[in-house]
Amino acid sequence: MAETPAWKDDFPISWVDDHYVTRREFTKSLVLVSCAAFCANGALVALGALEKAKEAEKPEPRKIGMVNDLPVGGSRVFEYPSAGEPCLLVRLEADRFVAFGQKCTHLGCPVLYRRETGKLHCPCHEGYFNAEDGKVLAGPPPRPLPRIELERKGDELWAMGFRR
Amino acid sequence: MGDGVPEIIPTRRVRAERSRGMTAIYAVMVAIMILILLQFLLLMVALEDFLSGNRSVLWGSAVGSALCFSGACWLIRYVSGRPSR
Repeated sequence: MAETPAWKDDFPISWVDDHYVTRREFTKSLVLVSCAAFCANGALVALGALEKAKEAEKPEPRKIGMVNDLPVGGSRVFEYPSAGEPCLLVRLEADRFVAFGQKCTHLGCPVLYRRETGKLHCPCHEGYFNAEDGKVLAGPPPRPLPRIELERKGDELWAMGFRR
Repeated sequence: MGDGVPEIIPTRRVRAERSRGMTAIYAVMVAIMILILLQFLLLMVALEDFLSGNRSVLWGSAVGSALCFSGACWLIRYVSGRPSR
């Protein structure tokens, strides 16, 4: 039989007792989980309030590209009104452009323009939007896509703000 | 013993008290678990509401979650006061 190492005599720690979690300790840790869930909910409220405040500000007009950069039936992603907020520019006809916020109104997945169907498609939960006006055609999205006012200044395309 | 009522011997009394204490701890544990489950449901609803940009039930779910948390804090006092093991 192996002899007990000397350090075990100096530090007689019972690992079984050390790792034992009492019901009382476990119940206390459940309260911490409850606290974490409450904090997460509070964080969502704070983020929601921040986004609401940001939406209330009128966005500045911004140049988003040149007319000839996009072929007829093509689409391109740009950021508006600030970085990290993707929008989708679609050229429906030679002189007809539309732009929408790219986040699906269901759960925020990016929508894509399907040239063959002429619809905006959210691949996450099969949501479809009308490419003409952003209205919901099918699927779970509850609201139309936010539409962006466009203005053509010569060969340049400008985003002027969101249509309310 | 003299008046006909059987006297509970001390070890039995200790065992009965311990059993009662364990029942209280289990009851509190289950109650807090139910509250946490409710909080997670509220969190899911709030997250879906936030991601859809609707933001109509965020405050309601936060208040509900706060009530659950305060309920859990209220319940834990029944556990923290008792002697360990």
